[in-house]
Amino acid sequence: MISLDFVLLLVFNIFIIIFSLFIFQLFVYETVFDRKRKSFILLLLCTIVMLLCIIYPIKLYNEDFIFDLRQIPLIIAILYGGRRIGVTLFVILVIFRTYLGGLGAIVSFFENGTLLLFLTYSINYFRNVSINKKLIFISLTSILTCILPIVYYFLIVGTKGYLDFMIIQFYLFILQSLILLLSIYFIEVMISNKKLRDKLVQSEKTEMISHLAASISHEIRNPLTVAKGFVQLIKELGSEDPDREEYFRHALDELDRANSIITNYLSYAKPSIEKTQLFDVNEQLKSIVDIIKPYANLYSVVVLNKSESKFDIKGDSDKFKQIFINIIKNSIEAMKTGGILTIETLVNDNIINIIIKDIGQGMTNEQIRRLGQPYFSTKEKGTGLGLMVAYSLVKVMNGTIRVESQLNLGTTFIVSFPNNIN
Amino acid sequence: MRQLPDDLLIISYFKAKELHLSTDFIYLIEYEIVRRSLGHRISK
Repeated sequence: MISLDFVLLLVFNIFIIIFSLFIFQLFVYETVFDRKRKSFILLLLCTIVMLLCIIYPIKLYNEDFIFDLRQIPLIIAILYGGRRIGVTLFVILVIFRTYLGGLGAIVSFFENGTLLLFLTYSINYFRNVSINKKLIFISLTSILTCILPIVYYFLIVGTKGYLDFMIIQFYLFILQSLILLLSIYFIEVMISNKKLRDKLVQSEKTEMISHLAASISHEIRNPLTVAKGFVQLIKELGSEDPDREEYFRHALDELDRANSIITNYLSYAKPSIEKTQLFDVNEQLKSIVDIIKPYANLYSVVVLNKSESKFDIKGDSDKFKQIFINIIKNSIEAMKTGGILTIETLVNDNIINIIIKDIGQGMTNEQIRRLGQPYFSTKEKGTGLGLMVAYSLVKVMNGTIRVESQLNLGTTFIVSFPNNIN
Repeated sequence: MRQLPDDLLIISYFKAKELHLSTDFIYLIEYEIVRRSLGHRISK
Protein backbone atom coordinates (compact mmCIF):
# COMPACT_ATOMS: atom_id res chain seq x y z
CA MET A 1 0.00 0.00 0.00
CA ILE A 2 0.96 3.64 -0.13
CA SER A 3 3.40 4.24 2.69
CA LEU A 4 4.14 7.36 4.71
CA ASP A 5 7.55 7.50 3.04
CA PHE A 6 5.83 7.71 -0.32
CA VAL A 7 3.67 10.65 0.73
CA LEU A 8 6.52 12.48 2.45
CA LEU A 9 8.92 12.07 -0.45
CA LEU A 10 6.26 12.99 -2.97
CA VAL A 11 5.41 16.17 -1.06
CA PHE A 12 9.12 16.94 -0.70
CA ASN A 13 9.72 16.53 -4.45
CA ILE A 14 6.75 18.70 -5.37
CA PHE A 15 7.81 21.25 -2.78
CA ILE A 16 11.35 21.70 -4.10
CA ILE A 17 10.09 22.14 -7.65
CA ILE A 18 7.40 24.70 -6.79
CA PHE A 19 9.63 26.39 -4.20
CA SER A 20 12.43 26.87 -6.74
CA LEU A 21 9.95 28.48 -9.12
CA PHE A 22 8.90 30.92 -6.40
CA ILE A 23 12.54 31.66 -5.60
CA PHE A 24 13.20 32.35 -9.27
CA GLN A 25 10.24 34.69 -9.58
CA LEU A 26 10.90 36.58 -6.34
CA PHE A 27 14.66 37.03 -6.45
CA VAL A 28 15.68 36.67 -10.07
CA TYR A 29 13.01 37.08 -12.74
CA GLU A 30 11.88 40.63 -11.99
CA THR A 31 15.15 42.08 -10.75
CA VAL A 32 17.87 44.15 -12.40
CA PHE A 33 20.05 41.08 -13.09
CA ASP A 34 21.14 40.93 -16.71
CA ARG A 35 20.09 38.08 -19.02
CA LYS A 36 23.34 36.14 -18.58
CA ARG A 37 23.10 36.14 -14.82
CA LYS A 38 19.42 35.17 -14.92
CA SER A 39 20.25 32.23 -17.22
CA PHE A 40 23.06 31.13 -14.92
CA ILE A 41 20.80 31.22 -11.86
CA LEU A 42 18.13 29.29 -13.79
CA LEU A 43 20.73 26.61 -14.63
CA LEU A 44 21.94 26.51 -11.02
CA LEU A 45 18.42 26.19 -9.61
CA CYS A 46 17.46 23.48 -12.13
CA THR A 47 20.67 21.57 -11.34
CA ILE A 48 20.01 21.70 -7.59
CA VAL A 49 16.38 20.64 -8.05
CA MET A 50 17.35 17.85 -10.44
CA LEU A 51 20.05 16.45 -8.14
CA LEU A 52 17.74 16.66 -5.11
CA CYS A 53 15.08 14.79 -7.10
CA ILE A 54 17.59 12.03 -7.90
CA ILE A 55 18.97 11.84 -4.34
CA TYR A 56 15.52 11.75 -2.75
CA PRO A 57 13.42 9.64 -5.16
CA ILE A 58 9.84 8.60 -4.49
CA LYS A 59 9.54 5.03 -3.22
CA LEU A 60 6.43 3.00 -3.99
CA TYR A 61 5.53 -0.19 -2.01
CA ASN A 62 9.16 -0.99 -1.24
CA GLU A 63 12.69 -0.14 -2.31
CA ASP A 64 12.22 -1.85 -5.68
CA PHE A 65 9.78 0.66 -7.02
CA ILE A 66 11.66 3.91 -7.20
CA PHE A 67 11.09 6.85 -9.49
CA ASP A 68 11.87 10.54 -9.45
CA LEU A 69 10.87 13.83 -11.07
CA ARG A 70 14.28 14.79 -12.48
CA GLN A 71 12.83 15.36 -15.93
CA ILE A 72 10.71 18.30 -14.79
CA PRO A 73 13.68 20.68 -14.18
CA LEU A 74 15.27 19.34 -17.38
CA ILE A 75 12.16 20.09 -19.46
CA ILE A 76 11.73 23.55 -17.88
CA ALA A 77 15.42 24.36 -18.41
CA ILE A 78 15.29 23.44 -22.10
CA LEU A 79 12.00 25.18 -22.88
CA TYR A 80 12.61 28.41 -20.94
CA GLY A 81 16.40 28.58 -20.68
CA GLY A 82 17.19 27.58 -24.26
CA ARG A 83 19.37 24.98 -25.94
CA ARG A 84 22.63 25.82 -24.21
CA ILE A 85 21.22 25.51 -20.69
CA GLY A 86 19.32 22.36 -21.69
CA VAL A 87 22.45 20.67 -23.03
CA THR A 88 24.50 21.70 -19.95
CA LEU A 89 21.87 20.28 -17.61
CA PHE A 90 21.71 17.09 -19.69
CA VAL A 91 25.51 16.66 -19.41
CA ILE A 92 25.32 17.18 -15.62
CA LEU A 93 22.53 14.60 -15.43
CA VAL A 94 24.46 12.04 -17.50
CA ILE A 95 27.62 12.49 -15.41
CA PHE A 96 25.72 12.18 -12.14
CA ARG A 97 23.66 9.19 -13.31
CA THR A 98 26.79 7.42 -14.63
CA TYR A 99 28.43 7.99 -11.25
CA LEU A 100 25.48 6.18 -9.61
CA GLY A 101 26.07 3.27 -12.00
CA GLY A 102 23.87 0.42 -13.24
CA LEU A 103 22.20 -0.32 -16.56
CA GLY A 104 19.69 2.41 -15.74
CA ALA A 105 22.41 4.94 -16.54
CA ILE A 106 22.42 3.86 -20.19
CA VAL A 107 18.61 3.89 -20.32
CA SER A 108 18.66 7.34 -18.74
CA PHE A 109 21.23 8.60 -21.26
CA PHE A 110 19.21 7.54 -24.31
CA GLU A 111 15.86 8.47 -22.83
CA ASN A 112 16.89 11.99 -21.79
CA GLY A 113 18.98 12.45 -24.92
CA THR A 114 15.93 11.79 -27.09
CA LEU A 115 13.87 14.11 -24.90
CA LEU A 116 16.54 16.82 -25.26
CA LEU A 117 16.55 16.45 -29.07
CA PHE A 118 12.76 16.53 -29.26
CA LEU A 119 12.47 19.62 -27.03
CA THR A 120 15.31 21.61 -28.60
CA TYR A 121 13.63 21.21 -31.98
CA SER A 122 10.29 22.27 -30.48
CA ILE A 123 11.53 25.38 -28.63
CA ASN A 124 10.53 27.83 -31.37
CA TYR A 125 7.10 26.28 -31.70
CA PHE A 126 6.62 26.24 -27.93
CA ARG A 127 7.60 29.89 -27.46
CA ASN A 128 5.17 31.17 -30.06
CA VAL A 129 1.93 29.42 -29.15
CA SER A 130 -0.84 30.28 -26.69
CA ILE A 131 -0.84 29.00 -23.13
CA ASN A 132 -3.51 26.37 -23.95
CA LYS A 133 -1.42 24.93 -26.77
CA LYS A 134 1.60 24.97 -24.48
CA LEU A 135 -0.27 22.87 -21.94
CA ILE A 136 -1.33 20.40 -24.70
CA PHE A 137 2.30 20.26 -25.87
CA ILE A 138 3.43 19.53 -22.30
CA SER A 139 0.85 16.75 -21.99
CA LEU A 140 2.22 15.17 -25.18
CA THR A 141 5.76 15.56 -23.85
CA SER A 142 4.68 13.76 -20.69
CA ILE A 143 3.40 10.85 -22.76
CA LEU A 144 6.74 10.82 -24.58
CA THR A 145 8.65 10.75 -21.28
CA CYS A 146 6.55 7.74 -20.33
CA ILE A 147 7.00 5.79 -23.59
CA LEU A 148 10.71 6.54 -24.16
CA PRO A 149 12.08 4.74 -21.07
CA ILE A 150 9.80 1.75 -21.72
CA VAL A 151 11.20 1.42 -25.25
CA TYR A 152 14.83 1.93 -24.19
CA TYR A 153 14.45 -0.39 -21.20
CA PHE A 154 13.21 -3.11 -23.52
CA LEU A 155 16.07 -2.50 -25.98
CA ILE A 156 18.85 -2.27 -23.39
CA VAL A 157 17.79 -4.33 -20.37
CA GLY A 158 15.32 -6.73 -21.98
CA THR A 159 12.16 -8.16 -20.50
CA LYS A 160 13.56 -8.74 -16.98
CA GLY A 161 11.42 -6.79 -14.49
CA TYR A 162 9.63 -5.24 -17.41
CA LEU A 163 6.18 -5.34 -15.81
CA ASP A 164 7.41 -3.61 -12.63
CA PHE A 165 9.11 -1.01 -14.74
CA MET A 166 5.91 -0.29 -16.65
CA ILE A 167 3.97 0.14 -13.41
CA ILE A 168 6.56 2.66 -12.24
CA GLN A 169 6.35 4.48 -15.54
CA PHE A 170 2.58 4.65 -15.24
CA TYR A 171 2.77 6.29 -11.81
CA LEU A 172 5.55 8.55 -13.00
CA PHE A 173 3.51 9.59 -16.00
CA ILE A 174 0.48 10.57 -13.88
CA LEU A 175 2.52 12.45 -11.29
CA GLN A 176 5.01 14.02 -13.62
CA SER A 177 2.39 15.33 -16.03
CA LEU A 178 0.36 16.86 -13.22
CA ILE A 179 3.33 18.58 -11.58
CA LEU A 180 4.77 19.61 -14.93
CA LEU A 181 1.46 21.12 -16.06
CA LEU A 182 1.20 22.98 -12.76
CA SER A 183 4.79 24.29 -13.08
CA ILE A 184 4.34 25.37 -16.70
CA TYR A 185 1.08 27.09 -15.83
CA PHE A 186 2.79 28.92 -12.95
CA ILE A 187 5.68 30.02 -15.19
CA GLU A 188 3.29 31.22 -17.90
CA VAL A 189 1.28 33.25 -15.37
CA MET A 190 4.56 34.72 -14.10
CA ILE A 191 5.60 35.70 -17.65
CA SER A 192 2.21 37.16 -18.58
CA ASN A 193 2.14 39.19 -15.33
CA LYS A 194 5.50 40.68 -16.18
CA LYS A 195 4.38 41.46 -19.73
CA LEU A 196 1.27 43.15 -18.35
CA ARG A 197 3.35 45.23 -15.95
CA ASP A 198 5.75 46.19 -18.74
CA LYS A 199 2.77 47.28 -20.84
CA LEU A 200 1.44 49.39 -17.98
CA VAL A 201 4.86 51.02 -17.54
CA GLN A 202 4.94 51.75 -21.27
CA SER A 203 1.41 53.17 -21.42
CA GLU A 204 2.12 55.31 -18.35
CA LYS A 205 5.17 56.68 -20.14
CA THR A 206 3.11 57.46 -23.23
CA GLU A 207 0.60 59.27 -21.03
CA MET A 208 3.42 61.29 -19.45
CA ILE A 209 4.87 62.15 -22.86
CA SER A 210 1.49 63.50 -24.01
CA HIS A 211 1.20 65.60 -20.81
CA LEU A 212 4.66 67.05 -21.37
CA ALA A 213 3.93 67.71 -25.05
CA ALA A 214 1.66 70.67 -24.25
CA SER A 215 4.35 72.38 -22.19
CA ILE A 216 7.01 71.58 -24.80
CA SER A 217 5.07 73.17 -27.64
CA HIS A 218 4.46 76.21 -25.47
CA GLU A 219 8.15 76.40 -24.59
CA ILE A 220 9.32 76.08 -28.20
CA ARG A 221 7.06 78.86 -29.41
CA ASN A 222 8.94 81.50 -27.41
CA PRO A 223 12.43 81.01 -28.89
CA LEU A 224 10.92 80.65 -32.36
CA THR A 225 8.95 83.90 -31.99
CA VAL A 226 12.10 85.68 -30.80
CA ALA A 227 14.23 84.23 -33.63
CA LYS A 228 11.61 85.29 -36.18
CA GLY A 229 11.44 88.79 -34.67
CA PHE A 230 15.22 89.17 -34.79
CA VAL A 231 15.33 88.05 -38.44
CA GLN A 232 12.67 90.65 -39.27
CA LEU A 233 14.74 93.31 -37.48
CA ILE A 234 17.87 92.23 -39.38
CA LYS A 235 15.98 92.71 -42.64
CA GLU A 236 15.35 96.36 -41.75
CA LEU A 237 18.97 97.11 -40.79
CA GLY A 238 21.63 98.29 -43.26
CA SER A 239 24.35 95.80 -44.16
CA GLU A 240 26.97 97.81 -42.21
CA ASP A 241 24.93 98.09 -39.02
CA PRO A 242 26.89 96.54 -36.08
CA ASP A 243 23.63 95.40 -34.41
CA ARG A 244 23.02 93.07 -37.32
CA GLU A 245 25.72 90.65 -36.11
CA GLU A 246 24.35 90.78 -32.58
CA TYR A 247 20.79 89.92 -33.76
CA PHE A 248 22.15 87.10 -35.90
CA ARG A 249 23.98 85.56 -32.95
CA HIS A 250 20.95 85.78 -30.68
CA ALA A 251 18.56 84.45 -33.34
CA LEU A 252 20.83 81.42 -33.69
CA ASP A 253 20.98 81.03 -29.88
CA GLU A 254 17.18 81.02 -29.73
CA LEU A 255 16.99 78.39 -32.48
CA ASP A 256 19.52 76.28 -30.59
CA ARG A 257 17.40 76.60 -27.47
CA ALA A 258 14.30 75.43 -29.31
CA ASN A 259 16.32 72.61 -30.82
CA SER A 260 17.65 71.42 -27.47
CA ILE A 261 14.15 71.47 -25.94
CA ILE A 262 12.90 69.22 -28.73
CA THR A 263 15.97 66.98 -28.55
CA ASN A 264 15.61 66.48 -24.79
CA TYR A 265 11.95 65.71 -25.16
CA LEU A 266 12.44 63.29 -28.04
CA SER A 267 15.29 61.49 -26.27
CA TYR A 268 12.79 60.59 -23.57
CA ALA A 269 9.81 60.05 -25.87
CA LYS A 270 11.46 57.62 -28.25
CA PRO A 271 10.83 53.96 -27.42
CA SER A 272 13.86 52.45 -25.74
CA ILE A 273 15.26 48.95 -25.50
CA GLU A 274 15.36 47.65 -21.96
CA LYS A 275 18.97 47.47 -20.80
CA THR A 276 20.52 47.07 -17.37
CA GLN A 277 23.77 48.93 -16.82
CA LEU A 278 25.66 51.16 -14.41
CA PHE A 279 24.76 54.81 -14.89
CA ASP A 280 25.57 58.12 -13.24
CA VAL A 281 22.67 59.37 -11.12
CA ASN A 282 23.49 63.06 -11.49
CA GLU A 283 23.91 62.92 -15.23
CA GLN A 284 20.44 61.39 -15.44
CA LEU A 285 18.99 63.94 -13.00
CA LYS A 286 20.39 66.75 -15.14
CA SER A 287 18.72 65.38 -18.24
CA ILE A 288 15.46 64.88 -16.28
CA VAL A 289 15.56 68.54 -15.23
CA ASP A 290 16.03 69.54 -18.89
CA ILE A 291 13.00 67.49 -19.91
CA ILE A 292 10.76 68.74 -17.11
CA LYS A 293 11.80 72.42 -17.20
CA PRO A 294 9.21 73.51 -19.79
CA TYR A 295 6.52 71.89 -17.64
CA ALA A 296 7.86 73.66 -14.54
CA ASN A 297 7.83 76.99 -16.40
CA LEU A 298 4.18 76.44 -17.25
CA TYR A 299 3.43 76.21 -13.52
CA SER A 300 5.88 79.05 -12.62
CA VAL A 301 7.99 76.58 -10.69
CA VAL A 302 11.76 77.06 -10.39
CA VAL A 303 13.70 73.77 -10.38
CA LEU A 304 16.90 73.82 -8.32
CA ASN A 305 19.15 70.85 -8.97
CA LYS A 306 21.69 70.75 -6.14
CA SER A 307 23.08 67.29 -6.87
CA GLU A 308 26.65 67.36 -8.10
CA SER A 309 28.94 64.45 -7.25
CA LYS A 310 29.06 61.34 -9.41
CA PHE A 311 27.23 58.28 -8.07
CA ASP A 312 26.65 55.08 -10.00
CA ILE A 313 23.70 52.79 -9.64
CA LYS A 314 22.67 49.74 -11.60
CA GLY A 315 19.44 49.54 -13.58
CA ASP A 316 17.69 50.80 -16.67
CA SER A 317 18.42 54.52 -17.05
CA ASP A 318 15.22 55.06 -19.03
CA LYS A 319 13.14 53.57 -16.21
CA PHE A 320 15.09 55.75 -13.76
CA LYS A 321 14.04 58.81 -15.80
CA GLN A 322 10.45 57.61 -15.80
CA ILE A 323 10.44 57.31 -11.97
CA PHE A 324 11.74 60.82 -11.38
CA ILE A 325 9.83 62.59 -14.14
CA ASN A 326 6.73 61.11 -12.53
CA ILE A 327 7.59 62.24 -8.99
CA ILE A 328 8.84 65.68 -10.09
CA LYS A 329 5.78 66.26 -12.28
CA ASN A 330 3.54 65.53 -9.29
CA SER A 331 5.58 67.89 -7.10
CA ILE A 332 5.25 70.64 -9.71
CA GLU A 333 1.49 70.13 -9.93
CA ALA A 334 1.26 70.32 -6.12
CA MET A 335 2.55 73.93 -6.30
CA LYS A 336 -0.48 75.49 -7.96
CA THR A 337 0.70 79.07 -7.48
CA GLY A 338 4.30 78.39 -8.34
CA GLY A 339 7.25 77.79 -6.04
CA ILE A 340 10.63 76.15 -5.75
CA LEU A 341 11.39 72.50 -6.31
CA THR A 342 14.70 71.24 -4.94
CA ILE A 343 16.53 68.12 -6.03
CA GLU A 344 19.39 66.84 -3.87
CA THR A 345 21.54 63.73 -3.73
CA LEU A 346 22.99 62.48 -0.44
CA VAL A 347 25.01 59.33 0.21
CA ASN A 348 24.60 57.54 3.52
CA ASP A 349 26.24 54.20 4.34
CA ASN A 350 26.39 53.01 0.76
CA ILE A 351 22.83 54.17 0.10
CA ILE A 352 22.14 56.93 -2.44
CA ASN A 353 19.25 59.12 -1.35
CA ILE A 354 17.66 61.31 -4.00
CA ILE A 355 15.54 63.98 -2.35
CA ILE A 356 12.77 65.80 -4.21
CA LYS A 357 11.32 68.61 -2.15
CA ASP A 358 8.41 70.90 -3.01
CA ILE A 359 6.59 73.66 -1.15
CA GLY A 360 3.18 72.68 -2.42
CA GLN A 361 -0.15 71.77 -0.88
CA GLY A 362 1.18 68.74 1.04
CA MET A 363 -0.67 65.60 2.07
CA THR A 364 -2.22 64.06 5.15
CA ASN A 365 -0.78 60.88 6.71
CA GLU A 366 -3.68 58.89 5.30
CA GLN A 367 -2.94 60.20 1.80
CA ILE A 368 0.77 59.34 2.17
CA ARG A 369 -0.14 55.83 3.29
CA ARG A 370 -2.23 55.28 0.15
CA LEU A 371 0.37 56.67 -2.28
CA GLY A 372 1.39 54.19 -4.94
CA GLN A 373 -1.92 52.35 -4.80
CA PRO A 374 -3.74 52.23 -8.13
CA TYR A 375 -6.61 54.67 -8.60
CA PHE A 376 -5.64 56.71 -5.57
CA SER A 377 -4.84 60.28 -6.51
CA THR A 378 -4.94 63.70 -4.88
CA LYS A 379 -5.30 65.32 -8.30
CA GLU A 380 -8.64 66.06 -9.86
CA LYS A 381 -7.94 64.11 -13.03
CA GLY A 382 -5.29 61.74 -11.66
CA THR A 383 -5.49 57.97 -11.98
CA GLY A 384 -2.83 57.11 -9.41
CA LEU A 385 -1.19 54.84 -11.98
CA GLY A 386 1.81 57.14 -12.47
CA LEU A 387 3.07 56.82 -8.92
CA MET A 388 2.10 53.16 -8.81
CA VAL A 389 4.38 52.54 -11.78
CA ALA A 390 7.12 54.68 -10.16
CA TYR A 391 6.87 52.64 -6.93
CA SER A 392 7.07 49.33 -8.78
CA LEU A 393 10.04 50.51 -10.90
CA VAL A 394 11.89 51.62 -7.76
CA LYS A 395 11.25 48.21 -6.21
CA VAL A 396 12.65 46.44 -9.28
CA MET A 397 15.84 48.52 -8.90
CA ASN A 398 16.11 47.40 -5.23
CA GLY A 399 15.20 50.89 -4.07
CA THR A 400 12.73 52.33 -1.58
CA ILE A 401 10.56 55.47 -1.47
CA ARG A 402 9.91 57.41 1.71
CA VAL A 403 7.51 60.36 1.80
CA GLU A 404 7.38 63.15 4.35
CA SER A 405 4.68 65.77 4.06
CA GLN A 406 2.85 68.50 5.91
CA LEU A 407 -0.41 70.00 4.75
CA ASN A 408 0.09 73.41 3.06
CA LEU A 409 3.85 73.29 3.69
CA GLY A 410 5.05 70.81 1.11
CA THR A 411 6.16 67.27 0.45
CA THR A 412 9.54 65.56 0.35
CA PHE A 413 10.13 62.34 -1.60
CA ILE A 414 13.25 60.41 -0.58
CA VAL A 415 14.10 57.71 -3.09
CA SER A 416 16.95 55.44 -1.94
CA PHE A 417 19.04 53.05 -4.01
CA PRO A 418 21.98 50.85 -3.05
CA ASN A 419 25.29 52.36 -4.19
CA ASN A 420 27.69 50.51 -6.55
CA ILE A 421 25.93 47.21 -7.03
CA ASN A 422 28.27 44.74 -8.65
CA MET B 1 16.99 87.14 -25.59
CA ARG B 2 18.35 86.84 -22.06
CA GLN B 3 21.88 87.76 -23.16
CA LEU B 4 20.95 90.69 -25.39
CA PRO B 5 22.56 93.91 -24.08
CA ASP B 6 20.10 96.26 -22.27
CA ASP B 7 20.40 99.06 -24.84
CA LEU B 8 19.85 96.78 -27.78
CA LEU B 9 16.85 95.27 -26.00
CA ILE B 10 15.24 98.71 -25.64
CA ILE B 11 16.06 99.61 -29.27
CA SER B 12 14.60 96.29 -30.41
CA TYR B 13 11.42 97.03 -28.48
CA PHE B 14 10.82 100.36 -30.18
CA LYS B 15 11.81 99.03 -33.59
CA ALA B 16 9.51 96.05 -33.25
CA LYS B 17 6.65 98.38 -32.38
CA GLU B 18 7.47 100.70 -35.24
CA LEU B 19 7.58 97.83 -37.74
CA HIS B 20 4.40 96.32 -36.28
CA LEU B 21 6.09 92.96 -35.66
CA SER B 22 4.08 90.20 -34.00
CA THR B 23 2.48 91.04 -30.64
CA ASP B 24 3.97 87.86 -29.15
CA PHE B 25 7.46 89.08 -29.99
CA ILE B 26 6.75 92.51 -28.51
CA TYR B 27 5.29 90.88 -25.40
CA LEU B 28 8.39 88.72 -24.94
CA ILE B 29 10.66 91.76 -25.21
CA GLU B 30 8.46 93.61 -22.72
CA TYR B 31 8.61 90.63 -20.37
CA GLU B 32 12.40 90.60 -20.55
CA ILE B 33 12.57 94.39 -20.00
CA VAL B 34 10.39 94.10 -16.90
CA ARG B 35 12.46 91.15 -15.67
CA ARG B 36 15.60 93.35 -15.89
CA SER B 37 13.75 96.14 -14.08
CA LEU B 38 14.13 98.44 -17.09
CA GLY B 39 10.40 99.15 -17.34
CA HIS B 40 10.92 102.87 -16.77
CA ARG B 41 12.87 103.17 -20.05
CA ILE B 42 9.88 102.23 -22.19
CA SER B 43 7.04 103.64 -20.14
CA LYS B 44 7.57 107.20 -21.34
